[in-house]
Amino acid sequence: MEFKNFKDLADYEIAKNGELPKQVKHNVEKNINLFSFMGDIVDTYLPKIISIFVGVSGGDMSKAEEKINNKKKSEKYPNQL
Amino acid sequence: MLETPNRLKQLSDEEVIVRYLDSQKRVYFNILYDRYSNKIFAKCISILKDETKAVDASQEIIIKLVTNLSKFGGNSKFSTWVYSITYNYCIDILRKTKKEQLLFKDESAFNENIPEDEDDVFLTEIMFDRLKILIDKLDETERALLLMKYQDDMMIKEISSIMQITESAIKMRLKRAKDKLKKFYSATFDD
Repeated sequence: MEFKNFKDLADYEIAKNGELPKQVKHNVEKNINLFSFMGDIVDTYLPKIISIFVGVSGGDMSKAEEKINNKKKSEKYPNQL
Repeated sequence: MLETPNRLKQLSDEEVIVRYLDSQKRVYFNILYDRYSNKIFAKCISILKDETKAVDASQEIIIKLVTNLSKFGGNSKFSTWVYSITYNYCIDILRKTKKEQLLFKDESAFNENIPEDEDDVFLTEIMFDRLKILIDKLDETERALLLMKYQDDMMIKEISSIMQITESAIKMRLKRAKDKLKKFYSATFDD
């Protein structure tokens, strides 16, 4: 069954309410860039922190770092703009 | 490879998503933003009936969508996924502002055999100008339910997972919303 009146209502609402304020897009981009930056920080420093822990607890730091790096390569990058 | 603006406009949502996830280029984000931001905003206003809340909600929904794009499995249309997240977010806001038990009280004891398409012919026959007036007379949840079902063609199962109540309760609520709409129709219009 076709509910054309409901679809028309959607078009009407979009036309009536106009565009989202420009500031929203700016805020969204800022937020996404922040998430991406935090992701980069974690990507950069987490392996080092883990390898320090491994080293302190008597393990082989180079092997731990290698494992983490291999895992990182197979993962997708987080979203960023 | 650079794509011409015309070619970019022709890309399907799914193609844009794949390109965005692969390249993280702003141009692909812009396409999705241009296609959906105003639709999300309009939907938020029609449910929340408050422009300031709708702007804030739209912003949060878009951030949620972009940061979760990689989770879009392609099992449904992208627009359905976008609207599910939109309804979910708005319903959550309604839950927080109203008492949950009043909004979504347990209706699991209702009859399972309520026909889903009862009164649907009546709905298709309401003129758009009249529907616009009538739908505003319903409360937020009833309005959201009808929009999910008849504007965005969502399945009862999808609506049930957004509303977090059973499928039979959704059918019951849909029936009630349609009955109410019918009542308002008779009270508002002479024919």
